[in-house]
Parts: sequence; C-alpha cells; structure tokens
Amino acid sequence: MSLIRQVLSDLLGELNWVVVYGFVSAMVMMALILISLSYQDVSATDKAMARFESADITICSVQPIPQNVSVAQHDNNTGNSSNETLDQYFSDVFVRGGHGGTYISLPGRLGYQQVYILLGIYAELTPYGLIADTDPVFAVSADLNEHRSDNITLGGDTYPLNTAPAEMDLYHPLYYMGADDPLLQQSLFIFTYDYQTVQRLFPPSEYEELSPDIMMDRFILSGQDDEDIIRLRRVILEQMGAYIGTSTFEEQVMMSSESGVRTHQFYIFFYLGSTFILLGTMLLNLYNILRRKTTDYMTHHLFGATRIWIFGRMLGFALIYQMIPWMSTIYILRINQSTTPFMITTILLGGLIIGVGIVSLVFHSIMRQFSQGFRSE
Amino acid sequence: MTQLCATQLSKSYHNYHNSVQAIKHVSLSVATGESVAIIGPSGSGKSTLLNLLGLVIQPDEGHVKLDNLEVSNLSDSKLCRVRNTTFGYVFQDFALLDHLTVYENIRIPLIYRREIPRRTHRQRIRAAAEALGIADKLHRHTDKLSGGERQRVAIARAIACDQSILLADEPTGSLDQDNKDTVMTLLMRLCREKNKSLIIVTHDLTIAQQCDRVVQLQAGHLVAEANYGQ
Ligand SMILES: Nc1ncnc2c1ncn2[C@@H]1O[C@H](COP(=O)(O)OP(=O)(O)OP(=O)(O)O)[C@@H](O)[C@H]1O
Ligand SMILES: [Mg+2]
Repeated sequence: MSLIRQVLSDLLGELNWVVVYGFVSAMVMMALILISLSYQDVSATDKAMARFESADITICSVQPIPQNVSVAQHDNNTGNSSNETLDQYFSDVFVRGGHGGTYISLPGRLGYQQVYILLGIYAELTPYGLIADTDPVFAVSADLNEHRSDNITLGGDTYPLNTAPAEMDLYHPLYYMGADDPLLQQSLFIFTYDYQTVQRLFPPSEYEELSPDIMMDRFILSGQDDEDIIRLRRVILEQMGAYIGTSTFEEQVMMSSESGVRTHQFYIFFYLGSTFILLGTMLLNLYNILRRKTTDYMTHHLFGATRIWIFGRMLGFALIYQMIPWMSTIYILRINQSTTPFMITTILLGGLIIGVGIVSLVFHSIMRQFSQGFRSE
Repeated sequence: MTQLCATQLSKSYHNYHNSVQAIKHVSLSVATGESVAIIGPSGSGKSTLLNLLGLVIQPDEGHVKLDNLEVSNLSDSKLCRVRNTTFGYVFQDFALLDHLTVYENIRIPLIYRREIPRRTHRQRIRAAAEALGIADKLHRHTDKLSGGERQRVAIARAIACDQSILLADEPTGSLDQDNKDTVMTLLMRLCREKNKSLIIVTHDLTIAQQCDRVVQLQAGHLVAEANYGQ
C-alpha cells in the first residue's frame, strides 16, 4: 500500500514530464502514421507511373479543334482522307502487339458495382493482367475473393474467374484510383488485347455505353511513331470532328512522382528520427529524475526501506512514467488499425526491458554510494 | 548494560587510484542511556566509525553486536529492520527531504515499522514534534524553515518511533551558539529522560564535554578515551 502511494506521489511530482512525453509521443506517432499512409498512396502511384514510363506511353485526349489550327491545315497535317471507320481503327490498334490501349468502366453491369475492361496495351499496365497466352482474363476485386465462383459465362463462352491482388489500382494521369478506392471494390476486371473480344463479349446492341467517346476517354499509345499519331488524328477528325492532343509521359513523371516520393521519404525519415530522439530524451530524463531522487531513496533506505522496496519504488515509477508514451503510441497505432499483437508485445517488452535496465543502473549506483556511507545532497 | 559493542572494526575505501584505510582496529562499546562523543581532526574517520556503528556500512574486519546479538552479517531486510527499530540518525546537513512537509519527514521511519498501527502515526509524530517545539510547523515544507528548526525536525525524526540509539554526525555544525545549546540540552535530556543512548561526532570540545564519555580518533585509530561520568 505505502509502496503504491510512494510511486504515485513520485509520479505526481513529475507529472509535467509524464504529460509532455505522453502528448508529444502521441503527436509524433500521429504524424508518422498520416505520412506513411499518404506515402503508401504516393508510392503506389509511383509504381503505376513507372509502368507507364517503361512502356513509353503517350496520353492522347480528344479535344475541340484548336482556334489556331484551321480545318484545312489540320487536314493537311493528318494526310489524305482515307475514310477509315473507328471500328476498323480500334480493331487495328487493339490487338496483341498493337500500340493502342484504353480502359472502360461499365457501372452496374453483370451484377458488379463496376466492370472494368482493360483493353490493348492497358491490359499490361496494372498490378494484374494477362497471364501467358490466356486472353481474355477475368478477375474480381480482392474484396470479392471469398464469394466468387470459379467460372464466368459471357457471350456464350465460359472462362475461369480469378481474383485480382489487393494492391490492384488503376492509373491514368488524369485520374488515379488507389487500391482502396471504393470504385475499385465489388468489381470485375476484364483484361484483353483484342477489340474483337470486347465486341464479342459486349455486343454493341446490348451495351450502348461502349461508345467511341468512352473508348477514347482513357486512350493511350505505347511506343508509337509519328505515323501512328497522324493516323489517329485523321480518324478522330473524320469520325468525331475533334482534335487529339498528345502529351508524353516523361514530363509528368519528372514533375509529380519523383518529388512526391522523395518528400515523403524525407518526412518519414524526419518523423522516425524525431521518434528516436524523443525516446532518447525520455529515457535520459528518466535517468536524471531517478538520479535526482538519490537522497530521497537513500534516506528511506537509511530509515528502514529495504533494497527490494527501493527497487520496486523506482521500477514502479519508471514503468508508469514510460507507460503513458508507450500506451499513447499503441493507442494511436490501434485507431489507425496498424497494430499486430506481435507489435504491441514488442513495444511493451521493449519498454519493460529499457525501464528495468535504466532502473537497475541507477539503483546499483545508489546502493554503491550508500555502502560508502550515508551522505545527503 | 552494554547495548552496542564494536570490536576490532576496520574499514578502507577503495578508489581507482588509491585506497584509504579510514578505520583501523577500533573497539568501542556503549551502554544503554550512555552518551559518547567522538572527536578527532578532519579526516580521522569519525563519520566512518559512526556509519559502521549505525550499520549503514559494513566493516572489512571486526563485528558489531547489538544487545549481545551479532549484527554485522545480517541480510539486507534484517539490517533494514534493525536500522529502523534501533537507530535514529541525525546528520550535519539534516538529510531532510525538502519536497516533503515536516510531518512527512518525521513519518519516514514509521512507514517501515509495521507493528506500529497507522492510526497512531499522527499522535506519535505530534508528540515528537512537541518534544522539540515544532508542533506548530508540522505542515510546512522543510525548506521554509530556519537552520535550527530543520535540525529539530531531523531529531524528531530520529526519535519518532522509539529508536533507542541516537547517532548524530556534527549535529550542531551549522548552528549558532544559542541553537547549539538548545540542541545539546535537548539531546542530553532525551538521553536522561528516555534512557536513549547517544553517539555524537563533533569537533566542538564544549559539546563533547557534556557527554558521559569522549573518545578521540587519530588517523583511524582510537587514541584516547576520557570519562566525564555523572
Ligand atoms: N566514500 C569514500 N570514498 C573514499 N574515501 C573516503 C570516503 N569516505 C571517507 N573517505 C576517506 O576516509 C577518511 C575518513 O573519512 P571520514 O569522513 O570518516 O572523516 P571525518 O573524521 O568524518 O572527517 P570530517 O571531520 O572532515 O567530517 C578520509 O581520509 C576520507 O577522505
Ligand atoms: Mg565527518
């Protein structure tokens, strides 16, 4: 009883420190978690961008014909009229080895929240995709893994149904969907190189939403040359009366991705450093507080407190003093759902070992001092 | 009757560079109710001897008997118990804990004396404080007290749970003449009235001469004894 009372009054005397460390450690943990969450995002984007970069992607967007480009001039630039239809064009670029790629989403079809068709080169640009010679590949989003059936029947044929990995994201420079984006849940992904396959699986009569506009919405070219762009501009001008703006991918990578990742890495490093410094100063402070109480402990020992009592009092103080920062750390980790029992055990065990270590150190030095004769001050 | 009996005590301190033999083959016994002054030049080993007699430090050689029981080689818990029940320590710098009140300082030995019921603590502390004339200052912090008052708090703590031997290391060192006299009168009165033994380290001869017996240390040896007896 008296021991507990002594520990509590020791703590009360150092309350300011307990509060400061509890608060600061909670803050640092919070910042660390926010940063690492956003880092996960950035680094996922970064990977997606790396895939785009290595595939030498050019983003092609349908735009109104610019004011300063007259139709005639434009016509000249795009070569002679050939009356190629969009269907012909798509059949030509969306094939194995073709240069075109796009993805289309069909909301609410086939009983899924979204059906994504990753077509042409796009079938290779996500964390999942075409496996060996199989084409098409069907996969449900990871959240549906447990409920999926083994097969799916579509357009009169039956195909095996797979599960996309949990990190499945969908990247386009204009719009990035991270792996945890609600729009990527409850979804079916269909990967295919072949425009004909899409036509077969989704007959235009039944799927009116598969319009040329939609096909062109996320259109990209991979490893194209000038010929490819001229051809694309021509067919779009003729069939849709619109212009195609292009931008290469490298510029975008340079601008956003790299610096984002590097900034995040810096912040994480910074906050990790802060955590260690905080931990260090906390332990140093613990050591100093115990040291400062030397006269107190020695006086009690002189008047009858046993060594075990003194050690218990010091350890009790040290553990509770540390407990608040450790606990707030665990608490913050918990509310961010990033703890495992292993992690909690490690943290608590680490705190215990460090606490016992510091207390033993000071305790032995106090007892050595005492055995040389009592001296206060 | 002999209460405390030390035979052939030796003690040396070891440092990195050298070792000092502070006490060399000192024997001393103190009877119940007797007052003994230890005098000697600075560095002669007075404090060391007092620490040995008070079971604060262990002798390298020799042994200490308390009421005819060997106490030199007790376990820590038994040693703590003996210190708690038998000795009241008063040090030159008082060894008060300044973040505590007078009351809490006096209570320290009582915390570790299980057989004295907690409900009687208040009354005992008050009695000790009254005997020393500081009863009105029980709830002040000790750092707000004068030197003489602090001294009396230290003595009150040394008698609060009926310790039978008072050990005082230069208890008057930092006091003016008036306060010296008050403290000495008080200590001698405790000796006579409550039959407590007193061992006091001092280099003030006028104080030493108030004791029943004076022993002199010189470079760790006991060189002279004088009996003043009453
Ligand atoms: N903890 C220690 N470590 C090393 N040497 C010590 C220690 N305590 C005392 N000594 C040495 O032992 C000798 C006796 O010291 P002690 O304190 O007993 O002397 P003293 O008679 O009380 O002196 P003073 O009158 O100055 O208080 C001295 O030489 C001192 O330097
Ligand atoms: Mg001394």
